[in-house]
Amino acid sequence: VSRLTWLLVRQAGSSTTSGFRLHGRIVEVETNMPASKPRPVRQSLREYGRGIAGGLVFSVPMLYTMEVWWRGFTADALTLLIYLTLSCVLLLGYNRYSGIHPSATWREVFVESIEEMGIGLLLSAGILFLLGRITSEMPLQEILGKTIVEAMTVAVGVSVGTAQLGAARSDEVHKEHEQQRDEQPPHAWGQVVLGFCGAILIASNVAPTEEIQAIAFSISAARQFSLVVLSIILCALILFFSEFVSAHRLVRRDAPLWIGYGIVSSYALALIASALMLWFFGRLQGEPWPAILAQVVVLGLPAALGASAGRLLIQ
Amino acid sequence: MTAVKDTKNWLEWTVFAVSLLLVGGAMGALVYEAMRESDHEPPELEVLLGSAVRQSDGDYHVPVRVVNRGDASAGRVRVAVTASLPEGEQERAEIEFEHVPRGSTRKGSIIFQFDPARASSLTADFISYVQP
Repeated sequence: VSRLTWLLVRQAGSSTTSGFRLHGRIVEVETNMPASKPRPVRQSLREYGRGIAGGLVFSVPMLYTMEVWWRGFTADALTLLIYLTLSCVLLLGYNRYSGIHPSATWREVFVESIEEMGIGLLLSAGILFLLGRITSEMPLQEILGKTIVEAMTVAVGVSVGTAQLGAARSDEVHKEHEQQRDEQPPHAWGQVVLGFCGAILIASNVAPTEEIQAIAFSISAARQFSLVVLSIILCALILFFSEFVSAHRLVRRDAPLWIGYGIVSSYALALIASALMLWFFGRLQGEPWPAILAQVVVLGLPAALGASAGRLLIQ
Repeated sequence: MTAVKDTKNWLEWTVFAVSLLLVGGAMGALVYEAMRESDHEPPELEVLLGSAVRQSDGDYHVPVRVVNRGDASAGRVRVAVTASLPEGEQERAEIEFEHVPRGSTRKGSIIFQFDPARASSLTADFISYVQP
């Protein structure tokens, strides 16, 4: 089967093949690409290696935090089930809109997400065992709980690592990826999903700690309000005013309304992500509204950084 | 775009199969647990005392084991061990366990300066715990 593949060479200087200009970009035409040859094992090994590295880079703060281990045995099974399901949904979303092979079908995305979740579970169990947090004397519930709580960030890290940490993006898939994402305007739902992933990835480093409650319960309403203002300013700064990596390409800015939408939606995502994480770690149950709001706002700052800067970095 | 292409090799399919098994297994185990679990029950704690071991410094270490057979975890579990001596005196020592997760066992030791075997009775009681 022969098919046309449009490959984009992003840096004009690196192009050795003859190309022509199309919409200001240098484009190379290639034909007769084999459509269904299995990927070489060597390449999959490299991808898994990147995935494992990425998984650990992003989740090591959680793997080394007491409150996260504790949540593994204090959370009831239903909460853990909701958490695991949400993690899988989040992974599906991330892999659909970014991830390794963004041209993939839903079926491929599903396969990929399950793989990453599996690697996440294995990795977190392995590291927890090395750290002595899992021992053979423990009941299965405790082992399972700890592993699942840690596996979520590991899995998102695996996905981000596989997609982002590759140096040589020379293979067909990545060029296709870059070409695709450069030609399409930013996908609105895709940006929501990625913003959410970014918020979780950054804020999960501090979400489980008792410091969030310690801060939230001790600062005045004026300080909380200032935190909200600062979070919104940071979103605006990152998305629109500091020429942050790929912000130009991924954030619509053709009208003031879009700028407003970009800022508000990022902060809203940050607050939702922050509330969800706090709920999971059992910080909101039985608290009065002002205490809930204070915690959400305190965690909202790191989450806002994730929803804006994190989102741009993990595309 | 062209039709679906399956570019996965045997390694990737193996990883997928193992992962599917792990994720499915974890979900299945959680569903089973969620259906079995009774809601908001207090932890069922039980304390067991072992026999005293004499250490080189002359102290006696009495092993204490706390078992939580309930569905709720307990934190900061405090246990008091009281030894009634034949002379009518009572010696009391306390031990605290940071966490006793549901279904698990935690171990510690209480130290006495005399041989607890001399005591007419050695009893262990729970003082308090918190539910995290």
